[in-house]
Amino acid sequence: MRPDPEAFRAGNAAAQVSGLIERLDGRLRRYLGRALRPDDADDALQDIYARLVRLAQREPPPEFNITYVFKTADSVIRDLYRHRRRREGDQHVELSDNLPEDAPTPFDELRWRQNADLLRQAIRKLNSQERLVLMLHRVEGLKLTEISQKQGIPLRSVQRLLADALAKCRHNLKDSGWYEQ
Amino acid sequence: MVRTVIPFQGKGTPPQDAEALRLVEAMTDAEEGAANATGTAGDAWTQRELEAVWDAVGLLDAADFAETRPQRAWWPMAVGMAAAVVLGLGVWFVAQRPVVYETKVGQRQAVVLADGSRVTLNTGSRIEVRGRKVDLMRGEALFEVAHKPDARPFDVRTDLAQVRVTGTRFTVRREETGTDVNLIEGHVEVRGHRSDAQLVKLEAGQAVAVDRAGHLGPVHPADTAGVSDWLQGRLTFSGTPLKEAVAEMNRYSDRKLIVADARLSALRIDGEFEAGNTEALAQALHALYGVDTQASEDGIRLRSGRD
Repeated sequence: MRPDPEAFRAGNAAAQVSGLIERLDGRLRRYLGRALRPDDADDALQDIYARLVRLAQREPPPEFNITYVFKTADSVIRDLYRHRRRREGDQHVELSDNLPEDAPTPFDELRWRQNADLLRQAIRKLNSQERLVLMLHRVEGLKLTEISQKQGIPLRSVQRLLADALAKCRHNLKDSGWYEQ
Repeated sequence: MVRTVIPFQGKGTPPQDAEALRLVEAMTDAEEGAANATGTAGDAWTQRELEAVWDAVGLLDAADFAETRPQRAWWPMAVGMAAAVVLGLGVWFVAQRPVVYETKVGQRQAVVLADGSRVTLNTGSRIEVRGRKVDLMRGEALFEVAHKPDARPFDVRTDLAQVRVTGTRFTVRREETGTDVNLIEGHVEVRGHRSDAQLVKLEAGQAVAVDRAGHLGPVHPADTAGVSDWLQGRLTFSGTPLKEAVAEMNRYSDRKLIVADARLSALRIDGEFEAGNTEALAQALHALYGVDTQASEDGIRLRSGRD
């Protein structure tokens, strides 16, 4: 019996997702923990997995990798913030009954804002090439090989620039107590 | 054989970026779908911290990576602007730096200001002149203000009062107890230093006092004779209580008269004296009223001679 190619692809994608999730779970949690309350982080994680599984059923299925997972996580967090802000706007008019769950958490917002400010400061200290590679890779979501082609820089140099960018940021953030939070 | 090993470290690269490079290489492998993508050897903790950076960067926007050159560009401008402000303040400050005229006790001095106005400083007085603004810091002065066709006001200020002039002769006297304004010619407006203080317009021959609280007293006749007296170095007393006469005389001398006997307070003085000649007044008091005078270091003590 030949496997149905559709089912095979879907199953393959789901397997791919669950494999990635297994591997990235701890890291994703830490990432979400920087931007969200623990409760919200759990919800966000569920949301990320749901989205990834949904995306896996697309035709053709996207190529899953760390960058893809984290781009999804980014957008989940962004949506959550946007949702919050809208909610906060509403709550000027009336107070929600289920305050503990739905209350805007300015603490989160503030924490992320402080986190982000420190990160921005660290990025500002990078040289323009390091900054460009970091931006193209993590914000634009380009692969390192794509950056290499697009910018006409050898892959080795791109790797070097990204490594330097990360290492410098890590140092600056360590100095500013980013990791102690 | 001695072998020296110099550990290689790229210039300016922070330590442990080998860890970062290893991580990036692993990411590249994963992107390219290499089979052994998951395994990255090395310091797990450092890698975790590097990953945290990479993860968090995702929540930033492209704008956060913008060149900071515009930011670098603003500071020379800010420095330039600050320098301009400092220069401006400096010019202003120099322009505002007053011309100071001062007389010692017993001295009298006439000065002509830049605008043609004349100021005669009485004993122990000090003025600070900024254009047509004069601060009377202490003592007394006669102002003969040059009239300006553009009617630019001439201001005299003490701690308590402000006198605004267009062209006239008047005196301002600053004491602990208040400020007196005597108008001889022309018109002036006098205002107490309190913001809510009323304003009074004096006519020639009128005077007004501003008290300690900055309030204007009633308008009364100016002591024009007194002004012309001090201009000539004279003091005229007519039925003046001894205490007042002594205080007035003491303004002009460092060798002070000291009323050391309460009984002398009732004494009233008449006569014309040389301003600052405390000795002469003491002699006159002795000759006319039998007042006991005793010279000491701090001045001349006056006691009743009828013990």
